[in-house]
Amino acid sequence: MELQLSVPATADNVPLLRHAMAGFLEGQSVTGETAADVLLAVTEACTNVVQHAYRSDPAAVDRHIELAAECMDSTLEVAVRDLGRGFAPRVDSPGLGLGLPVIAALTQTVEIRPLTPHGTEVVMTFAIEPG
Amino acid sequence: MRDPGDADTNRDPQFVRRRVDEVVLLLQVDGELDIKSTDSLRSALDAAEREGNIVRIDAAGVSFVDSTALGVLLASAQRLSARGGRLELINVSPPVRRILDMTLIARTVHVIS
Repeated sequence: MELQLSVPATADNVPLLRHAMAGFLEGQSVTGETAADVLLAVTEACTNVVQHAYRSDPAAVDRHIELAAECMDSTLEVAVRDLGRGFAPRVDSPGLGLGLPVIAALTQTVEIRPLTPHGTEVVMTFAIEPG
Repeated sequence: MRDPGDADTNRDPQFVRRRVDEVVLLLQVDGELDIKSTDSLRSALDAAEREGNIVRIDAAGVSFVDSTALGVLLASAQRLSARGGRLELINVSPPVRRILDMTLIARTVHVIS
């Protein structure tokens, strides 16, 4: 079973994506602390997109967040993608800069990859025990 | 499967202020605290800080907190601390406690079990 969503990169859509992810996890019988960790990591990754991904390219037409998730045996892989110009350092960042450290603490693995022609993909994996 | 557009799951957090005594202001919070609710959380804390030197957040109804919301809580705690007050969190659920511990924010915000 897979989840694939693409929504405009706005603050209002971050909880929407989290709730979609919650529904997906429910369908996979992923519950408790594991589900809470996944939802927090997804929220942090989506928030990074809203706060940072399109700042250096305000004229970008396709300002979206893409969320994809797939369960493979005992591993859940979740990808959060944007089509922006990458994460530039931001001295006026509204957050604490804890997003990526929190993601790293919650995940089994995390990789940040540039996309072609532009964009960034954060790929997170979690150990799960599907029901 | 839960509908991601479900009005119940997407509702904005609710904030209710109640004065406990001359210094303590209780702020009851219900809902999810993330980037969408940052402004309303900041406004609620600003109002609470004007009414009490100790702001006690009853988080029994808080089902989710992310690092964006933690930033707002931390800023409030620092403002209160600078004037001799403090920010307290009571009735924290295990998932919320987890991110508080992970980020060491409990060094600044008084989490009361």
